[in-house]
Order: sequence, then C-alpha cells, then structure tokens
Amino acid sequence: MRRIDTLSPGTLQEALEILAREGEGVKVIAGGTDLVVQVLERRKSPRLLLNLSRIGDLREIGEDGETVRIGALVTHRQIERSPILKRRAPLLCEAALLIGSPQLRNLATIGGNIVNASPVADSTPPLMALDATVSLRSARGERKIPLRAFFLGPGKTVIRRDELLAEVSFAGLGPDAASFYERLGQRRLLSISKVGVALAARRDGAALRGVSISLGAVASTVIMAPRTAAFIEGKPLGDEVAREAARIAEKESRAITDLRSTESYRNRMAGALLQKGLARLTAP
Amino acid sequence: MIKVGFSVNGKRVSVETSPTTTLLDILREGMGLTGTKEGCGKGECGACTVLMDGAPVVSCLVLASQIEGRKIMTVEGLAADKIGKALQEAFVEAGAVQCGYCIPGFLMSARALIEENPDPTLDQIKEGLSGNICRCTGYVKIFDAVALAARRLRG
Repeated sequence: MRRIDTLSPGTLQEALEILAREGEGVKVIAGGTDLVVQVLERRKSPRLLLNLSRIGDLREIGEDGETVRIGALVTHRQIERSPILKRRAPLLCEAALLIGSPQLRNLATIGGNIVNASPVADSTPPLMALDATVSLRSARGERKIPLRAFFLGPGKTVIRRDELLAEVSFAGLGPDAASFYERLGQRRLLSISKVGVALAARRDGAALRGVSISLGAVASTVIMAPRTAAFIEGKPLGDEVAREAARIAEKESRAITDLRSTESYRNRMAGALLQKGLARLTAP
Repeated sequence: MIKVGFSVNGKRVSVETSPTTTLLDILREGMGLTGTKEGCGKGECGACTVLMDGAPVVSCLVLASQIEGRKIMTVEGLAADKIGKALQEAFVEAGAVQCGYCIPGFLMSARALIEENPDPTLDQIKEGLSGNICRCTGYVKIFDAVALAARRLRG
C-alpha cells in the first residue's frame, strides 16, 4: 500500500490532542478493514493516519446497572462471544455473527462500523433499535448523541473533525425481552446486506410492548420504522399481525435500486424479514 | 519509515518499513515467508490468513503500524506446532488439497479453531473456515481433514 504517515498514540488523551492539532486530512484507523480497502481502491486518500491500535482503553464490554457500555475498539468477535451481550443485547450478537468472516471480525471494531456510517452496516440496526447513545470525545470534552441522530447520510455523521467515538451505550434488555436481527445478503457471510431488520421489545403475555424497529440498507442511513412498531405494540402476536406489520414495514422502507438489489425487492423483503423475525419470537 | 518489533513463529524480529506496508508484504517480501498467499488483496478470500495473538486475521489488511508487540504465526510455523502438524498430515491423508493456493489460509483458520474447540461439530468447522474460499475442492475433503486432525489430537 502507498506510504501514508502514521501516528500511533499510546493513550486516548494523546489521540485527542493529535486530532485537535492536525486538522484536515487525518483518518482514524482502528481495525482498518474498511479503511485499508478504501485507500487501496483510492476512494480515500488521507494525508495522515491516526492509528488507535496501541491504545489500551476502549476495549471492554461492561455492565453498570441497566446500562451496557461497549468501548469503541471492541471487535465484532468480542461482541459475538460476550456473555454480557448475549444476555443484554442478543440481537447485536446475532448481527456481529453475520459480519464479514472470522478473520475480519477479529480486526473490525464496533466504533469503526458506526463511524464508517454505511447504511448497510449490520451492527447499526440493532444498536438503533436499542436506542443506543454514542459518546464523542475531544480535547474539549465529551458529547453524548443518540445514535438515531448521529447519521446524516452514507459516510456522513455529526462527528466533528477533532472528535473520536469512544463508546456506545444503551439500556440492556431484561429477561422479559424479545428481540431479533434478520438480514438478507447474497450469501450468509462475506456479503453486504441487501436488507436488515432489527426489533427490540418487552414481552407482555402474548404481546410486545415498547416495540422499536429499525431497517438497514433501505435508505441513505439506517432508519427507524415507527409506524410498524406502533402497529405491533400491545397486539397479541400471530400470523395475522405479522402479515399486516410486514405490509406496513414495506411502506416504511425507502429502498433504492443499486448493484446489490432493486427497490421493490428490498421493500418487500423488509416486510418478509420482519415477518420471519416475528415468527421466530412466537415459535414454541 | 518506522521500526516495528513483533514475533513471527516464536522468533522476535524487528523490521524497518513504511507504516502502511501490509503484514502480508512484510512476511512475503521482507522476510521471505512466501507460504502466506495473496488472493483478493482486500480481506475477502482468506488466502493470506495468519494468526495474530492466536486469532486468525487477514494479513492483507493489517498494517505495519498495527503489529508492534504482536505474536504472528504463519503456515511456516505449523510443522513445529502440535495442532499444526496434525492438520498438515490430515490434509494430505484426506486428499484435501488440489491446486493448494488457499491451503495455507485454511490451515491457519483450522489451527485457531481446533485450539479453541478441540471437538468441533461439522457446523462449527464450517463456521471456523467460513472466511476462506477454495475454488477447487468443494470443501468436503477440507472439512473431513479438519475433523480427522481434531479426532487424532483428542487421542
């Protein structure tokens, strides 16, 4: 790969000082699985790389009462295996298992997946369904932003040039939770999502409460599907409710046609995946 | 240029290189360890798989600046490794190799799998090897070879 000057700070504080000082043309590299390819294909040409691989912090998954915190440098491999997340955010573990391959998941970080801001990122729909918050750190301080307000478009976020995403946190699901992440790709692994659907809710008898649904790969960012969620809210789950919910989700989906799929197929599949996930929740 | 210190197959090394040289290039061109292959060059085929601190990674996407202090194991290190040797023998016996280009990568993924899970099911073998592509064999004999090696190692 072409030579790019690289700074490798040992602490988060040093990294933030470098960002504050350096200004334009700096790209942060964590796992590198997206960035290295973008540089190789000349889609990005940073002047300077800020390499986070020597920072010891931000690599833990923690639980603090209700709140679950995931450091930005946690890999997808850690996520798929985390006992805390299997209990408090199983839909995120399901999504992590669908990302890339074992060799990529050992490198790729959750922070990178979020900041890369791809509308097809698989970890984002679960985190948005969980109403996660991201913590953005800079030499000036910290901002906390709801993930649902973080993305502006493909590759575009509200993150400022001198900020690093340090952590993502959310209220973990309880024992009465129902959740899933369903997605469709060309193959199971090493494929980019055509559609992804995440749902998080609480069980209340045969019904769901506090339903939250997000859709991936069907708009310029991952989007919420509030009308679908409101329809499901409080109704006893069953084939009829799932079918009608799928019809509403198809309308909330705002897919486009591109090289991976077509608008109408994606919209239909957003509904179909929702139906499939709901069937999973009612399976004996 | 930067100086990075890391270990390869148990030996400490120090290399002077551009910070954005890939680990794959350091191994192949810097150190002459040409057992690790380049396939797609963008992390999708698994031919360049090596172990970094025991975990399989695609060496084509790892940069020199990221390997300071890491322990790298390549296919050249397998003969001196108990699991590695068992895998090599099982691949030969099961007829798991055709053109052979993908095999170093498969061996490294299988080495990581068996170390973590000495008694993998067929599905777990498939999952463990899901990041490696082979265009010759159709995978069946590769899965057989990994199962055979695991069985022998369990004694």
